[in-house]
Amino acid sequence: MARRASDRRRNRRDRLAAGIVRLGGAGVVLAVAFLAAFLVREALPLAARPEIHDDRARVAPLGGDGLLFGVDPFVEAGWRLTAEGVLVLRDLRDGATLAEARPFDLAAGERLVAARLAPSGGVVAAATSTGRVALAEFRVVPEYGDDLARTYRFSEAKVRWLRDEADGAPITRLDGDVEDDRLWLAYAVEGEARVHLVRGRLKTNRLTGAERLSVKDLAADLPAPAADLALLDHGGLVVGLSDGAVLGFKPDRRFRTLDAMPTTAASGLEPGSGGVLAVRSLVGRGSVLVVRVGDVLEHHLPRPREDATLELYLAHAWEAPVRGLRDVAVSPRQRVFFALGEDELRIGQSTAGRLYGRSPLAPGWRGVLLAPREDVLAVWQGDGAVRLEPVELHYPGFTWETWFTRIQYEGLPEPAYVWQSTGGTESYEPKVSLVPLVVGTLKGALWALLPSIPIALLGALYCARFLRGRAREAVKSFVELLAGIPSVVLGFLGALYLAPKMNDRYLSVLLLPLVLALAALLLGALWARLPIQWRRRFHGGRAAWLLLPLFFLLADFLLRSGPGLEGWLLGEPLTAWLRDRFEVPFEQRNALVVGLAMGFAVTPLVFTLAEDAFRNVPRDLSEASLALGATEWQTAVRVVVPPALPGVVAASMIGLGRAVGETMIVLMATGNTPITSWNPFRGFRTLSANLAVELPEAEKGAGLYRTLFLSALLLFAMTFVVNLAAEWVRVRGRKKL
Amino acid sequence: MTPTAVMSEPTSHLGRIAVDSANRRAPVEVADEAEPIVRVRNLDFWYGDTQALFGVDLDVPKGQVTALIGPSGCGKSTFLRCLDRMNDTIDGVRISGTVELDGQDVYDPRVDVVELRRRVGMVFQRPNPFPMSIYDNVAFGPRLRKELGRKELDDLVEKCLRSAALWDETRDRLDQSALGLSGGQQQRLCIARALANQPEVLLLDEPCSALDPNATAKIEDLIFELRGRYTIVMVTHNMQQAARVSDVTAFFLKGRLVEADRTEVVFTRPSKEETENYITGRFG
Ligand SMILES: Nc1ncnc2c1ncn2[C@@H]1O[C@H](COP(=O)(O)OP(=O)(O)O)[C@@H](O)[C@H]1O
Ligand SMILES: [Mg+2]
Repeated sequence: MARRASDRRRNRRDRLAAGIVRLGGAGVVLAVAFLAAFLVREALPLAARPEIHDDRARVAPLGGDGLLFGVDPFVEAGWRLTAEGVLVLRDLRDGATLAEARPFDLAAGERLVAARLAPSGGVVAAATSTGRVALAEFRVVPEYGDDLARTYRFSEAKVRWLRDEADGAPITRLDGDVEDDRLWLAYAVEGEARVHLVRGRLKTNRLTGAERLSVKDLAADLPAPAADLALLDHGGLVVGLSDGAVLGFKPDRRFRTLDAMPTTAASGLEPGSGGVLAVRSLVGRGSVLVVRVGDVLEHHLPRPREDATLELYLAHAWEAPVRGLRDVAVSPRQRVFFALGEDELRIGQSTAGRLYGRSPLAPGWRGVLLAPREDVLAVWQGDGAVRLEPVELHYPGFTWETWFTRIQYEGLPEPAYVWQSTGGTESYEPKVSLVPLVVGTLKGALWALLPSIPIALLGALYCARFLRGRAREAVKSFVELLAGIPSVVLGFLGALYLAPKMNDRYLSVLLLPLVLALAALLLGALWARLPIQWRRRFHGGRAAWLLLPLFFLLADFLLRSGPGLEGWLLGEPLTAWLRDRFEVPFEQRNALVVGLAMGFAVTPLVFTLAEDAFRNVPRDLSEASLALGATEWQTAVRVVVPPALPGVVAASMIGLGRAVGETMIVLMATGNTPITSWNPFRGFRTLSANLAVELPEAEKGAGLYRTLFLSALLLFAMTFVVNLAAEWVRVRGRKKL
Repeated sequence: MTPTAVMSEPTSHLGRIAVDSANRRAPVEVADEAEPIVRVRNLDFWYGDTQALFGVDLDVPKGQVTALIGPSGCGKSTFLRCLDRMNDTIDGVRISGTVELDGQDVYDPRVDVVELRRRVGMVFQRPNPFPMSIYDNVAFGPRLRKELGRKELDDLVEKCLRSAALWDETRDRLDQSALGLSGGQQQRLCIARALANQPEVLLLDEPCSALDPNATAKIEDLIFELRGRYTIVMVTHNMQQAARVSDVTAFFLKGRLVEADRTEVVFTRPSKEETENYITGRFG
C-alpha cells in the first residue's frame, strides 16, 4: 500500500517535471514565433499597393475658369487663379466663397496667359499678356471664428517680378521656384527657338527689412521652339521640343552661360521619338517626367559625371501607361506621380520605376493634384467642380527593387546600392538598399571568423586531446572567462585601443599568425631532436607553458617593430602604400579591427563548443587508436576529428550566428558607414548596428520604420537559418555515430 | 575428486573445475618450460593516491595463452594495460617495478611507446571498431606507418581477416561501415585490426564479456587458432573459459598476484586457499 502511494507520488512528480520541461520548450518556441510574427506584422504593410477610393469620392464646387487650382492641407478650401489675376478661395464643404485676392497688381488690360504651380506647392509662376513674369508665394491659412468653426483665408502673397519688360512677348511655357534666397524662372517665348533661365537674388536690409531683388537672365538657343520645360534644382532645366528632343541645361558657376548637358540612357532604353507634350519636375526638382505624343512617359534625371559636369540620363520609360496620356501630376512630398490620360490615371513611383493600379478619370478634366498630406486626389473637372478622391499611397517608394537592386538615385553618378535614410531637406528621398547592410554583416562576420575559427578549433583540439588535468581545466576556465566579457567592453577596446594601435602596424598584425605558426613548427621540429629524457619532463601539454612566453616575446617584438618594419620594407605605412599603389581606400575603424575585437567574443564560444565536440568522441575510439600504435596527433586527426566534425561545424556556425547578430562591437569599432565593399581596410555597417542606430529615430509607421523591421526580419532569418543548419548538422552527425 | 570435465555447467555448481587435457581442442605442443617473453617484476601501480597493484611478479610464456582471473576490481585490467603502457594515457598515475618485453624494460624513457604498442596489441572489453569501413579498420595500424603498398596492404587485410575468421563474412562488404557488423563480428574485427600490426603479444581484456554465447565460442576458437603464433594474455571473469583456452592462469586478488601456474595445476591443485575459494565459487 505504502509502496504504491510513493510510486504514485513519484509518477506524479515525474509527470510534473516532464510537463515543466515541455512547457519551457514550448515557451521558447512560442517566444520565437511571437517575435517573428511581430516583425512580420510591422513589416507587412510595406507590401500594400497604393489605392484610390473612387467610390468614396465627393464633389465640391470651385468655379469653371482659371489657369491653376489648389487645395489646403485639410482639403476644406480650394483656390483657383483666374486669367484676370484673381485668386478665388472657396469652401469645399459648402461652396461659399471665402476670399478673393489680386496679388499680381496687373496693369489695365493686362491678363495672365500662363501659370504653373511648383511641385512642392505654394509657389506660382505666372506670365502676363504683356510679357511680364512673376513668382508668387502664398498659402491658404486656417482661421477660427468665435464658434471655433474653421474657415480659411489667403496669407499675404509675396510677388516678385523676374521679367518686368512689358514688351509683349507671348510666354506660354514657364516654370519657377524659390530656393532659399534664390528665385529661379525658366521660360520660353512662343515661337522662339530659345530658352531663358532667370536667377533672382534677394538681399534683405537687416535694418529696414527692405528687400532688393537683383535679376539676371541667361538664354540658350534651341534647335526648335520649346514644347514644354521644367526647372531642376540649382538652376538646371529640361526642355522638351515638339520634334521629340529632350535637352538639359545648366548655368555655369558664375552664371554667365547656359550650357547644354549631354544625354544618356540606361542600358536597354532609348529616348522616345514622339513630340513632347509636357515636362514636369518631381518634388525636390531632382528629376523630371516627360510626356510624349504616342502615350510614352519617360523619367529623366541629371547625374554627375567624372568631370563634375552633369548629363541628362533617361532612367525609365513606360509605353502606354494610360489611354491617351496627356500630362502628369506629382506628389508634393515624394517621388510619386500620376500619369493622366483622357479618361484614366495611374499611380507611379519614379525611383523604383514602378507603375501601380489604374483609376477612372472624368473626361475633359482641367487639372489634377495630390493634396499636401497625400490623402486626397483632387480632380478639377470641366464643369468647374473638384472631385475629391481619398487616396492611400502606403509605401510606394519602398519596393524590393529599392531594397535589393541597384537604383539610379537622383544626384548619384550611377545605379548603386545605397543606404542613406535621412537627408537635410524635407523632399529628401530615403535610400534604403539593404544590400550594403547585408554585405556589411557578412563582411564583419567573415573577418571575425577568419582568425577566430582556426584559433578556436585548433585550441579546442589541443585542449581536448593534448592537455591533461589541471592545465586543461585552467585553459578551459580562462576561455570561459573570456566569453563573459561584455561586448560593449570589446567594442570600446576595438575603437579606442586596437584601431589607433593597429593603424601603423597592419603588416605585423597580418603577419603575426603566419610568424607564430612558423615559429611553432620550427620549435616543434627542434623539440623532437631533444633527448627523450628532457621531453618526458614536459609531458602532457606542459611544453606549452614553455612556448607561451616565447610566443608573447615574439608577438611583442613583431608588433613593436611594426611601424619600423613597414617603413623599411615599403617606405611608408602599409595602409598608405596600399592607397598610393593600388588605390585601396583605408579607414581607421575597419573590418580588421572589428574582426579582432569580435574574435574575443566568437573564439571562446566556438572553442567551448568545439572542445565539447572533441571530448564527446568516445574514449573507446581514441584508446583503440593509441593501442594500435598511433601517436596522439595521428589519433586526433584520424580518429577524433572525423566523428567530431558535425559538432565542430555546428560550433563554427553558432560562431557565425553570433558574429552575424553582434551589435555592440560593430557599432563602436566601425565607422558604421553603410558602404558596399568587401575591402577589409574600410568600415561597414551591419544590419544589427543599423537597427541600433536608426530605429530610435525612425518615425513610427513610416516607410523607413517598416523597412527597419524588414531588415530585422532579414537578420532574424539569417541567424535563425544559420543556427538551424548548425543544429541539423549536429543531429545528423550524432545519428551517424 | 574425480577429474570429470563438465564444461557446460555454471561454475557455482562445481566442486572443482577439472581440466581434461583430452577435451582440449587442438592441443598444441608447447614446451613446458617456454621462455618468458614478458617478464614483470615487483610491479606497483597507483591511480593518484590509491594503489591498484602491489608487487606483482609474473612471467608470460612465449606463444602460450595466459589467462588473468580474479574478482572484479582486483587489478587485472590495470595489470594488462601496464604491459603496453596504455595506462600512460590516464592522468595522475604512477608506476614502479619493471616490465620487460624480450628483455627490454618497457618503461625505459628511451623506449618508443608507439613501437611498443605496435609490438603489443590490445583488444578491449567492448568492441570498439572505428566508424570507418571494415577495410580501413584493419588497415589502420599499417597505414600509420605507411610502409605498405596498395597490394601488400590488400593481402595483409585479407590475411588478418582470415586469421580472425572473419574473411568469409566480410569479403564482399569490405568497403562498408564496420558499425554494421554484429557485436561478435566487431570484436573479431578488432582482433584482426590488432593482428594487422603483426604484434608479438596480444592483450585481450575480457574480449567476450559483451558477447552472446555463440560469438563467445567463435572468439574462443579464434584464440585457439592464434595460440602458438602469438603470445596471448587474456583477462576473463569466466573460469571455464580460462580453463578451456589458457595454458597458464594467474589469479589476482585485491591488486596482488596470488598464484600463477599451469592452468591444469591452478584449477586442480591450487596452492593457495584464496585461489581454491575463488575457483570453487565461494566468492567473486
Ligand atoms: N582510471 C582509473 N582511475 C582510478 N581508479 C581506477 C581506474 N581504473 C581502475 N581503477 C581502480 O583500480 C582498481 C583495479 O581496477 P581494474 O584494473 O579495472 O580491475 P579489474 O579489471 O580487475 O576489474 C579498481 O579498484 C578500480 O576502481
Ligand atoms: Mg577490467
